[in-house]
Amino acid sequence: MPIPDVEILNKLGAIMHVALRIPEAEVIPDARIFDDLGAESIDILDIRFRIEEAFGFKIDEGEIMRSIDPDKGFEELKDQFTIGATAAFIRQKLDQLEQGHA
Amino acid sequence: MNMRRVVISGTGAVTPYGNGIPAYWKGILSGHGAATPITSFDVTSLPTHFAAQVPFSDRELEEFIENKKATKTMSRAARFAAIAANEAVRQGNLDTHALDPWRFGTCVGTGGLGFFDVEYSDKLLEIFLRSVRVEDGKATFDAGQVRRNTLDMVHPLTPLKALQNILTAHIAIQFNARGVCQTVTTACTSAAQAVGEAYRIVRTGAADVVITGGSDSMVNPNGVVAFSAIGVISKNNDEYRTASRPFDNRRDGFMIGEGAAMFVIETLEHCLARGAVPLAEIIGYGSTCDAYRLTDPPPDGRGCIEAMRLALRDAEIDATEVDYINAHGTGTRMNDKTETMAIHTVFGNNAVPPVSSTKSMIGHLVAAAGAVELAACVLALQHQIMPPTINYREPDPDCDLDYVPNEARKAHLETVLTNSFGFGGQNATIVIRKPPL
Repeated sequence: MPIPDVEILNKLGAIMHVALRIPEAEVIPDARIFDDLGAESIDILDIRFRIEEAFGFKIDEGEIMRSIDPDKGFEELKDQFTIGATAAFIRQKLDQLEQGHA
Repeated sequence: MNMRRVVISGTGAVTPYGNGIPAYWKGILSGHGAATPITSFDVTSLPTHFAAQVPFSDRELEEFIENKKATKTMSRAARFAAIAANEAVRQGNLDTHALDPWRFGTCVGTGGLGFFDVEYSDKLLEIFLRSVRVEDGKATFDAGQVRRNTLDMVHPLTPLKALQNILTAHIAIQFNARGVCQTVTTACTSAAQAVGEAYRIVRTGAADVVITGGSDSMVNPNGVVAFSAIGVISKNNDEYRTASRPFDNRRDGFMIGEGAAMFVIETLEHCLARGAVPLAEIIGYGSTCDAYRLTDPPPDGRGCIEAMRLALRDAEIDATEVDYINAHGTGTRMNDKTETMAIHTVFGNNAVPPVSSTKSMIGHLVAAAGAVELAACVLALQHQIMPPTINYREPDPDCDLDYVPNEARKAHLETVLTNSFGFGGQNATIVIRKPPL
């Protein structure tokens, strides 16, 4: 049974709350992780570690950004690095795992 | 060189008596020690089961820190430091936004093992357990697996907690202090040297205002194991409430303490110009190394003697002008004997002022010791009371001074001196006096 999208968002809300000490209500799909939610670069390590623990898969360095656009660099993608984009990445990873097990 | 006068204008502390300077002063005047059984981890297999512990969990400490996100990379010691620094800035009425940030610095003493907190120590155990392979009923240990598991299982920000200077950096960020930023790690002398160096920084004009002090927490599995291995802490679990016995003949080592004290120091001119009230003036600092053995003081106490003499010379005062000494006074056989002898040598046999060890109450705060003890000296000057050496019952013939036994004592205090000595042979002495009117 695949994890519903709403559950992914809920889990991401809890992760951001702990990692960035912000209210879960601020963790909406359009929120940009750097500019809107106030992350700094070391927070991304923290968030990545927590996503790995919460969803049970490993994430390579830069993998989330590459999932947004593999041809663009970090600075260009900073504004597109949102909660929604991260949730879509998690969805994609979970689906790949699901297919792998099928 | 035109030397500037340096004053302490704010103090803050997190101690085994709780959060804040008032709790600390009340505690060290009470005559009741702060020892409690260690319950944050299992100590049954260790020889020592007690310490003087700050009565807040790491999570509870977060409540006192405004920037919650910053606590992710704060060790327990860094949390103490942030809280104490905030109190010092508030108490000193320092509007940090009004300062020239490049003339505003930080200089803090801290230790090296503080990040081995209970959570991290437990995680390491789990990593080791998961790295054992059992095949055909035979267990083998896979070191490569330990490294892989460490990378996978340890939180990626843990290394930042382990860097000593991160503690100081947090304070600099908190208050936008962009000037000199130094971290001193010289074991039990760390805080005294940090304050001493900060005093020199301000005195010689490299900065106008510095947040300084010390913070440490060794009440963790590694800390207790380390001190037990070196054989310097009391094992008197049956009488833990009174086990910290500096200068008493029954002493069997020190009690581990934890906490922080922080200060705002600045030039007298800067302090008065912003309408603040100085609490004390730092007038002398001496720093030496025994260059002898790592943990034994030299039999002639030369390093301690010279540190005190240098501080008195720097203060341009005679030894007879010192009204009270807050001793290093750890409660180990060797320290208390050597320090007593050194004090005799510096002050002359008939002119030694009263000496007390606040470690008898709060334990040995290791890298923070010199700071909490300096805070005790500032409070002693303010209130004209000498805190006592508690648990003092049986005199040691080698320790024959007036140790202000068991009860705080009123006294006329103009000038006080505090000593800190540390593994490695570092010695530091600071002399302060009542603030200029």
